[in-house]
Amino acid sequence: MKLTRREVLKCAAASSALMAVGGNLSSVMAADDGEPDKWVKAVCRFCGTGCGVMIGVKNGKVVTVKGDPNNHNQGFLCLKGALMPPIVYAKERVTRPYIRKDGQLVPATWDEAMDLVVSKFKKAIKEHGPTSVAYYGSGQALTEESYLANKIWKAGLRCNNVEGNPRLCMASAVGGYYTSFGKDEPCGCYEDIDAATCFFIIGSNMSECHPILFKRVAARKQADPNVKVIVVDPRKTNTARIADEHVSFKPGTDLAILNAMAYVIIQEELDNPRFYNKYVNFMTNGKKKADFKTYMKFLEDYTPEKAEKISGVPADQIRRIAKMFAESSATMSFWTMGLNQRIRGVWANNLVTNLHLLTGHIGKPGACNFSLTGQPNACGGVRDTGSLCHLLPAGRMIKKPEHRAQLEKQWGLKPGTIAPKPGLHTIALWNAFSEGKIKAMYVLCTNPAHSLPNVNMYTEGMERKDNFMVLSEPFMDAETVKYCDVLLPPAFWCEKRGVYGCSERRYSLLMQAVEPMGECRSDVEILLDFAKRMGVDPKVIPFKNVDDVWDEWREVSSITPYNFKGMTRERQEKESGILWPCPTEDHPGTKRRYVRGEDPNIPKDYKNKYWFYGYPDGKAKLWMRPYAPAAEEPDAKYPMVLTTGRVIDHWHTGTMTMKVPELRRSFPRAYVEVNIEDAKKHGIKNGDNVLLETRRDKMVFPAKVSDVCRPGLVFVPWYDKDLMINKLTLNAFDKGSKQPEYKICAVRIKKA
Amino acid sequence: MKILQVKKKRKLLGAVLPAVGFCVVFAAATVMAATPIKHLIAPDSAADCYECHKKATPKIAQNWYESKHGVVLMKCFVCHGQPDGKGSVPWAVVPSPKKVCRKCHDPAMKRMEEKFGLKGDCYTCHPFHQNSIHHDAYKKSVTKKQ
Amino acid sequence: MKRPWSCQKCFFLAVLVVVVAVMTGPRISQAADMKKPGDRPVVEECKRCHDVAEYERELKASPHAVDKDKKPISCEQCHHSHFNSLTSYYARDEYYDKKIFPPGTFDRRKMQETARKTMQAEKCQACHKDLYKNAKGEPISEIGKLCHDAYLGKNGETRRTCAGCHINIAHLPPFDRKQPYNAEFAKKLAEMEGGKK
Repeated sequence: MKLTRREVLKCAAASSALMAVGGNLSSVMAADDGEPDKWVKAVCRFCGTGCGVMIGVKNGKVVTVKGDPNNHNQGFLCLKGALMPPIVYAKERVTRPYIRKDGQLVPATWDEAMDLVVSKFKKAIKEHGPTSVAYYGSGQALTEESYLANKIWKAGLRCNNVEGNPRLCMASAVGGYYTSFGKDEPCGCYEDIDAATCFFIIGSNMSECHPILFKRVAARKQADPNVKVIVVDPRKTNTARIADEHVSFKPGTDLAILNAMAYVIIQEELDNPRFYNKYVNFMTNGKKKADFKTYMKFLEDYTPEKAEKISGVPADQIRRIAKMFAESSATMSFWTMGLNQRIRGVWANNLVTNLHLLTGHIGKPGACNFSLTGQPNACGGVRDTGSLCHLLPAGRMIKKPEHRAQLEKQWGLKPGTIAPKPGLHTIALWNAFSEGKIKAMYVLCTNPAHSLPNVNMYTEGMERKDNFMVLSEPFMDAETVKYCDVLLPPAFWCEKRGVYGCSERRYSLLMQAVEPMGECRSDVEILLDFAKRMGVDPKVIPFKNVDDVWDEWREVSSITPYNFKGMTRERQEKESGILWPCPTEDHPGTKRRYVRGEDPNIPKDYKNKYWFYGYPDGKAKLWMRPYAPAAEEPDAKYPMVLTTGRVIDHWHTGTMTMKVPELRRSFPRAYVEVNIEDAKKHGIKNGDNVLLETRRDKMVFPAKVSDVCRPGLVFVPWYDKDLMINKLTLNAFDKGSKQPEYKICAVRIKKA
Repeated sequence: MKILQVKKKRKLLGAVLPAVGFCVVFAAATVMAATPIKHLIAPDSAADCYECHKKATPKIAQNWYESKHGVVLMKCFVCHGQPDGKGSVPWAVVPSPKKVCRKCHDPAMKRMEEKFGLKGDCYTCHPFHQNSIHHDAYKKSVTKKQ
Repeated sequence: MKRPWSCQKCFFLAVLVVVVAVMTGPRISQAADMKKPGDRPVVEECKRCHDVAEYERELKASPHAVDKDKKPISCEQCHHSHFNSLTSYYARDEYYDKKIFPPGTFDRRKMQETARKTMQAEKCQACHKDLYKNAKGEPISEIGKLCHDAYLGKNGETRRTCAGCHINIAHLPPFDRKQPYNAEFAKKLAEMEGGKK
């Protein structure tokens, strides 16, 4: 064989080229692997940001997700949302009913399980009356599920003991909005972020708990360098990374700081008399109407210097942030549990709203007092449907006879069907269950044996033999499964169809992506079955399916300011969420409430630009709330403050996120976050075991020493069911909202 | 004549051998570069990549921390998965844009495909977690202004 | 026919001679009037061509300014010095001011890339023999142990050498001075440079 030099060179070139291509062959082959057959539109299962997702389905299984480009998140997802698929197929999925026999959960048929549940409920009602049963629902249940359960219990069983975990999370925000505006829910929307020039973030670790909204705030700051961000938090969290001012304060003293800010705003002539003289009533803490002069006098107890003594925040910084807040053209406030989970939660909410009412930063693009909702459907599902012990659908109250009568008419019920006395709020309800006064409890989509404060008290109560708990829970390893008497297998997230309503009043439809696993059924089916077996009046449950429930709820809302009659199922399938009010099918949804021209509840020719129609005189209320300390302040015996919260990787009790290997391995166990100085004082190094003791219980946690917590504060996340920090927390609650104070209790630490 | 043929053979060998040698070396290098390194197994911090890589690869870790992905806590494992392959995201030192980036950046990727006909490879232009330390992620960089 | 072969032969032979000369040059030229390396401090030798004053300053502020016995560390303990006939020629006193390679000739970013790949482990191991202890004999961190397990192939593997991971331990180019993990080094350097000015 004779080869010329040219041929050899050609061969060499060809072989090297082939080798280069060979490396790419594998990636070409992998590209087609696992590509979905179809994309189904839904909403993320996690936080109250309510990002739209597209679920990728292949061969009837969920294989991937991506963000919905048409929803407010514009295709973006956070790390939890991006990793949802494995949760659906976790091996801990409950796929059939179980009944507890001799202490063990034994598989049962649907008939056996439901017959037992119904017999227990019927017995309780017969022997002790309707107030001896209860329903404890969730801000993670679909709107139709909560609405249906609310109706079954209040109109069917005539029992007002309907509660839900939003009582533990948003009740103070509800109370705050109610007292300030006469109506619940924020008046602005996420689009305001794109127009705001100052962000006031207080009691919220937005970067870990509402990541996509945080991203939007950061992007706004990038677009306009003049935008200011103020973060008020005793912890220097990741959220504070983008802050112009990080205000660290003694936990519980934010009430003083907020009042001091109001003082500075007035002193610096940055308040807006035109606005508040026309649209605001000044109210004393004793519910008496007062005037601006009285307010100024009230604020003299909250000069920046006095607030510095109370809170530890330098007076200069208070002046700076007050000026930043007031001088900006449009200020948006965000807050979550830091303000809500307090015995003064309603007051804290009022005080933030006060700043907006004082400066007129309300009702225009970029200006809003925006309470961030924690759960994906606390707004749409529980708050708006009135699935709490004192509420009725669409902002009506049980204690008002005219509201009961109006609803009974809408539901076609005999007058007097709805019991006139409100039921027991969550803490009172679980207290009653623990004392054997509530005989039968239906728990749906929540994990109270992990999430209630001072939880030992309640798990002891759950162990009683004379009370009965039926639990609808998708995951076998949830803590509450240990205590339930009947376990029902619900369809999980994308295995059912229904609506989630997120923080910005956006109702989005989750379309069903795959069939429920095993014998799982949607909670709407289970509840309808329960109601039928209980012998509830068929007029109460004229529903064939979840769409019927939605249509009724739509209709019920139409005579109230919630009015979303225009959100038909067809529209919901086509669009990616609509903001209520939305009275007609061609209405685009409402970005700003209380504003003439934007809020459809206001006639186009109304005399004023703003109408706070929650109150008869159309004015909002500015409440003079004083500083009052927490329920359990640190003292000589327990000198530090214990606070709890979340991390971005885990959702609540971890029943879902612990199923994703990456998230589980990221934070497999709880820990205690200790300040560097405190650690030195106690001889604690990073990784050492630390004993935390409160008046209720004690527990050992590994330490994470950092500069995140301020000295005197320790932080423990609550996702770990083997190290449940709620055994140490306090169940004191806000007298107004009945929400417990998870955020502050007294603790002492010692190297273990 | 024989001498000529022998000389011709030597000439050819002189040309062929280096060419073949070159091919072999090139092949070996390509194979070596394509073979992934076995990442160490650290079960206690399997998904806490940042804590270790802050020390092991400080430049990359710092770039990520200061980048947009770092500020919004888009952590390593969301794109890279787990080095022992036990994660739900497939382990990849260079993640697949179609499988990974698309989860959040689908609208932008579609725009790039429609407007510019670009497909698949994002990294040629976009710094995945590269960010100059001369500006923070959510402030406009000097280069972007130019 | 015969001519091409002899031309090629001569050519190859010439190349060979030059190569040999360059390789063995050091020994030949050192015997000549050049000062031997070691007669002056090594850094002086390097300074003849490279403007290493800056590198020298950085070294003095670095964790490798002195070894565990407080003796100053010198260039050739980490770097290979290249004394040969060519370099020694230009390092002669007459040429000292010429500074063939003025500052800015070398792209420090590219140099850093190359250095991280080519610096040889043996040089480091002269002091750092035990990879689970630091030079003073104290045990290293958990993360350090894991990384060195990977380096030694005991747990995972790595294609890097010492300098591949341990960067900015002797020199701190301006583009690395803002990195938070170099904060201490940068501070010391700024103090030194500030004092000088």
